Amino acid sequence: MTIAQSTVLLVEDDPNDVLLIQRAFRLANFAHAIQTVEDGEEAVAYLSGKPPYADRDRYTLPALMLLDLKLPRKSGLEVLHWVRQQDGLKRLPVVVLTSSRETADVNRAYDLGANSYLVKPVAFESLLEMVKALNLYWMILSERPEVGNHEQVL
Amino acid sequence: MTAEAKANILLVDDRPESLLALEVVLADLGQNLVRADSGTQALRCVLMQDFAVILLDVHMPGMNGFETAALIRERERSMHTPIVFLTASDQSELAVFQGYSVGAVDYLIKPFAPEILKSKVAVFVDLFQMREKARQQANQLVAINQNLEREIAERKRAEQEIERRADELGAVNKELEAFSYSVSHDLRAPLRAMQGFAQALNEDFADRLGPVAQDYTRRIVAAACRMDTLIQDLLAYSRLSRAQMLLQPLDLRSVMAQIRAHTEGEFRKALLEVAIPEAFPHVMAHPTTLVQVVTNLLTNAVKFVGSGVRPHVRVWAEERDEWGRLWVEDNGIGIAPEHHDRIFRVFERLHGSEMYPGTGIGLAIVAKGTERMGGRAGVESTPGKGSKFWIELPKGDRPA
Repeated sequence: MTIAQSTVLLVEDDPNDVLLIQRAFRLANFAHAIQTVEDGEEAVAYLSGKPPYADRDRYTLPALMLLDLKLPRKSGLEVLHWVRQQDGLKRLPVVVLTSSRETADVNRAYDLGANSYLVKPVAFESLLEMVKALNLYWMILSERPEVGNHEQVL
Repeated sequence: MTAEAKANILLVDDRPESLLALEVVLADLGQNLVRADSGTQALRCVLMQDFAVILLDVHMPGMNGFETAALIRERERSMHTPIVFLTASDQSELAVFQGYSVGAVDYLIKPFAPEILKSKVAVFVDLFQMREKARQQANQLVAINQNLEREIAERKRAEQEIERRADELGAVNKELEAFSYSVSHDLRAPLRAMQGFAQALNEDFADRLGPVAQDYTRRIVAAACRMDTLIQDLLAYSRLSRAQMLLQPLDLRSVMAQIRAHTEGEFRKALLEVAIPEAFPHVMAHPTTLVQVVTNLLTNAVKFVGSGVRPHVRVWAEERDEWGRLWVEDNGIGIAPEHHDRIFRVFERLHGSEMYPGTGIGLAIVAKGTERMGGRAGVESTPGKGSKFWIELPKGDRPA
């Protein structure tokens, strides 16, 4: 891995949340690219490099995925399950970022291999703090695993 | 029917003086003597009653004793009733007696000794009564069995009912879970948008908004945050009502330490001043719920102080029989006695939110949480003199 710009994949169906999270990243002086997809199937298409995401120069494999749970077409938990089955993606750090605080969801997400579970705060200040912490912990402090260096069998 | 019920003895003779003689001899036995003066009448009697023994004169006009006995034997009810023939000494008749099957039939030759007659009949009465007793016991056994079967059937029905109710409850719980899931997800999303964009307006376009517009956007932000707290508290409360509570022995002291470690801001500052005593009983509780309950107790204690008064909270515990009781005393505004029950209910507030902001759910969480853990909560308070809240939980063994 180079120190060059990395990508964070944001899987979020609520356009308001997308705007707010993007604004929070902007205010946090986030140095990396943010790609957004709005449902579970799109996320799978992006990660497996299927059209319209075949161009890996433009749609680079992310260093981190922020995953909402309640998504149209394919739920966040299904996406997570799928990611952990893929040779090239199973190490991808996945942070669940959702509204649900239900114990069942939290447990299920960790069972399926989520690396962290965060609940979207209502107060923007808190969201900003959260994004700063995400940046510090996952993009700066954490050693990154190799992702996507296996030929994918799809 | 008692075991001492009188046995029936049938006396059959065509001559009244003979019947009278039999009655005199047998009166001592204290049983129920029934007279018949012919074979026909004897047959009528055995149709209607059961007899311990039948004393049957052989020589009777019309149907004689043997013919009568034969007809008695034909009837189901009297098939096994013992018969004692009464006869004058006559060798030809003796042969006939022996022709009868043994056991149920006997004979006495006239004139008979009263003692012998009495003891013979007494033997049959005993036999009859023993049989009666056995029959009664068998009947009782049958009755007990039937009762048992009924009880088992009832219990099965009750179990099925409980199972059905549990299924229903499970379904309702699932629905509730789905409901609170959508509440937490769907209701909060628009709130985040309101709050977030109002703040964005305020921050990104401050130069174009006058001070009044900025005040308005700040109010939108504050209202959205308040509504979020409300939803969160309601969710916490509803989760308390349906969550499974696996109780374990907990040290109240470590619970206090945990709460301190997880709080921030003003509340933390006030909490740090609360002295935690050394001696704290162990109670049976559900860890997250106990933390939630005690946190709400402490928040409550710190919050409701008169303006300008520095909150001072004292915490101690005591053992009361099978219970461990935690006390939280404050120097707050106090509560009038008529409100002592109300404050533990959801959404009950005694003050406007301008004065003491909050959702009115905190003490409801305290009450519901302790109740779900098998304990209870209460308060002692006088207006103007502070309040002493307490929770009681069953004592537990020291954790390993």
